[in-house]
Amino acid sequence: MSDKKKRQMNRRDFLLSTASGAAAFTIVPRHVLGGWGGTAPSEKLNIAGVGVGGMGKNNLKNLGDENIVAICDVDEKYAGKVFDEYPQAKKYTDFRRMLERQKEIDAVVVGTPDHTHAVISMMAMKMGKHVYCQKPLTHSVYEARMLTEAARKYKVATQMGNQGHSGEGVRLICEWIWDGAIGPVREVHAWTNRPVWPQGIERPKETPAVPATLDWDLWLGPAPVRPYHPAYLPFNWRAWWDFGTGALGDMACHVLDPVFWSLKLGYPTAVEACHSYEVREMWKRVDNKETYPSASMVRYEFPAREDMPPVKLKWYDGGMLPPRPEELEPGRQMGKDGSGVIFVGDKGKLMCGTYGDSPRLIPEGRMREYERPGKTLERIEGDVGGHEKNWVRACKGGEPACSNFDYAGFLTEAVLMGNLAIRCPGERLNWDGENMKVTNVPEANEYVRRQYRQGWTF
Amino acid sequence: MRRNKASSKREPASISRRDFIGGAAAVAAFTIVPRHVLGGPGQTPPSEKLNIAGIGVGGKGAGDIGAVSSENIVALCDVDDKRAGETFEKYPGAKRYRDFRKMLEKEKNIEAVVVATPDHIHAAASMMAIKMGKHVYCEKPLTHSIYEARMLTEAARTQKVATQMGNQGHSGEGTRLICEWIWDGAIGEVREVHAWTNRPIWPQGIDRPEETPAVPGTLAWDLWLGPAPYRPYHPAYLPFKWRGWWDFGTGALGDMACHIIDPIFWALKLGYPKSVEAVSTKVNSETAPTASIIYYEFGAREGMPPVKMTWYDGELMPPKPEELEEGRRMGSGNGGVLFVGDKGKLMCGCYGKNPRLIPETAMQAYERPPKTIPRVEEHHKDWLNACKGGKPACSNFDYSGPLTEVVLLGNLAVRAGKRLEWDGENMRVTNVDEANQYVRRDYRAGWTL
Repeated sequence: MSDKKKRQMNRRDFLLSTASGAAAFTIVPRHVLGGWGGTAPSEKLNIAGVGVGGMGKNNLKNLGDENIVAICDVDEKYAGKVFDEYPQAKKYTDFRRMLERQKEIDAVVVGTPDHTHAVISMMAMKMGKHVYCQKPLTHSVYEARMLTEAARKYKVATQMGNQGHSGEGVRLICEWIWDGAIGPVREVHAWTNRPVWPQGIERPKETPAVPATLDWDLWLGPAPVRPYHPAYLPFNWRAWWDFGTGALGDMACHVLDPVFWSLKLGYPTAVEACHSYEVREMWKRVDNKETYPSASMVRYEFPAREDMPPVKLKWYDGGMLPPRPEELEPGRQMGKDGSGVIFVGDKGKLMCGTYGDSPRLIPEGRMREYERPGKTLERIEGDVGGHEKNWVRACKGGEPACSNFDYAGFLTEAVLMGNLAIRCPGERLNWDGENMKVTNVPEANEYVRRQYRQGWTF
Repeated sequence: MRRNKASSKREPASISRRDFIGGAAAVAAFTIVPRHVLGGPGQTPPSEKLNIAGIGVGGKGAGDIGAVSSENIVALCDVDDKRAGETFEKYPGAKRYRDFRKMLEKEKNIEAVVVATPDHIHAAASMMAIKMGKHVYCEKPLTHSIYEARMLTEAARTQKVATQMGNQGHSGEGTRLICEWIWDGAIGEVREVHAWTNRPIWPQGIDRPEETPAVPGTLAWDLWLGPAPYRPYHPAYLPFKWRGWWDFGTGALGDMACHIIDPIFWALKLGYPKSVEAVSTKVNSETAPTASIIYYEFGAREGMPPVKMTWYDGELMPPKPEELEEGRRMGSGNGGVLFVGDKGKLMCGCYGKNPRLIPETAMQAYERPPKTIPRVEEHHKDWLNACKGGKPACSNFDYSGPLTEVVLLGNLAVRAGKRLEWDGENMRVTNVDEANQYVRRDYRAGWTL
């Protein structure tokens, strides 16, 4: 399938002109999203939560109108309170057992660490269950591609947990950019203050006993075996290559979301990264293969799309930032909540916060002058808080959720390409997105896909 | 002096060394700093040997002393007997000191000093020597604070001594080629420059050690501290690792930018920047961060448009230019520079070495201009020559002072963490008052500049 066609399948096209909408409908007919055995809007969905201690807990809360029939977590302590909140739900530690045993599950919410997103989501989809999966969709580029294709094949309703995508801000950004508010965009800067957890550290040597409340082997899932250590959980797994996806994985699915949508991005053609190192002894740079670096910068190049020129996208994390634009008045915050985006157009600049929120043309004088276009994009009920329900409607035969895997898969792949580039610092990697191949640095391809531990399949 | 100030108000760069060799402009420069003053009364004729003293003679100082050992090495000063041991032994005729103040007071025959201490001592040692009319070769960066750099530059002018900063790449062929090519219009007008280093390769981003091990008998710790605030001895600071500590060193910028930015400063005739902004990994009050980026903006200069210069350290890099062929490295191991012109790009390594237009086909096609800038035999000899009445050394403080100020402004911005507007003439951040605390530092009691 051509890149162009794949792009046409992105969710955004469902909301665009009738022409592209019609093409997209040909590929993924709308009715399949409910499909045979679909839950009628009047009925309640039977939802299972996998990984409910962290973000999963919030997702379930927003799904409180449905039936929460099963809860699965490998960490009884971390998930304990949530277990108590849903006394009627059956409790599991192994999602595979849960999915095999509890046949009435219609839909699954995946809120585990990144390294288990793909296996859980894939198994659920293969069983015909709808999936809401936390961001980033997967741990590797390959997994994202496979999940995206599976979602299409099994015709289930999907949504990635980049809730900003349901927000007003992201829509305004698209409408303004498509309106030509800042002219053609050739350069974008996006950043986050993450990581706010330790990175650039080495694997702990101590091997404390596994808490009785934790199923360590299941927590590891498809990742290579290593001894338990509290350095990995409940949250700091983000730092570790085997489990998390670093600052990019945590935040870029939010921060880059409005960039991706408004600029209609597909696969990048080139990606290059550089990053900081730790030095603990003179002249010895730590070549760390255990955790992500404390700071990194990724430069993406995207080719021309439709009527838009090629664009360079620059990502900064760990304290790195683009230069403050001259247009930003003294004292004004750059971005919001620690992250943000600056779109640099031929005719102006647009800035927004972490979740595409608070978009403004800068300077503020430009914003005031700007005659806003009509709100042509459909709004999501409940704004960012309605992201889960947006998916529920899709599960019940409504239109595809706004960040379904046809969109979120592309976005996740681009995000994870940044991590792939971080593994090969200083190399400008030419990317053949269609074939998931780095064409000029063969060894980089080892990071496209990862090996699963024995007993785990995809 | 007054005339210098008046002229620098308009154009601080006009007093830089480059003007000495820049054709008609050189005449103006000569008016300001007449060539004969650099020898002055009592100067050493070229046929005689200079009496040189070394201050800080382990590490880099050992190399510097070796490079001037054709002269009389009459005195050596170091606070660390162990680190300086080899150098002491090599020059048995030289008097040995731990305190440079005592040395300069006692050894009246000293005509010139080579300063290669940690950064925090550079200014105090150089200033005392200059005030006593001695010529000074000082390692880079010239000083630890912007204020010190300004004061040294002015003192060198007032005292009419021969000076040279130890950015030896400035004497190299590469730096000269870069100037000649850029002035020839090889890449058109330059509005953007990127410079980077692989430093720090010593620990930064760390906290002050809590242990207080005993001071080794071979070390005069209090003298090592010099004008810096007192703190207990710890091997985390020396040798060499002082670079990472704000009280002593100047981080990756201080170590390498006087080399790496040098060809930019010269070729683009830079003076004080208009603004500077830094971003970095976690900033703490003890050490420089593990990685940083500094965004500088310079106004238009002499027929050159405004230029944005971006500095990267800790292995951060600018994006690889499309013009660079597959498999070619960016710069050299220590760092490099990428000049982005309207009509092309020029890349070089650390020290201005190995300049090339990129892609290589552009280099091959380029018809090089004549070599109009005088070549220098060797950096230390260039200074020795100046001490003996020759023309000013190529990186004398009139040039290297402003260069050092630009470098140190990067550290100031790292500590301030905001986009700063800079009034170079008055050494003031005009938009963030608290940032001005880093322009100058307080000296410990008993120490003066």
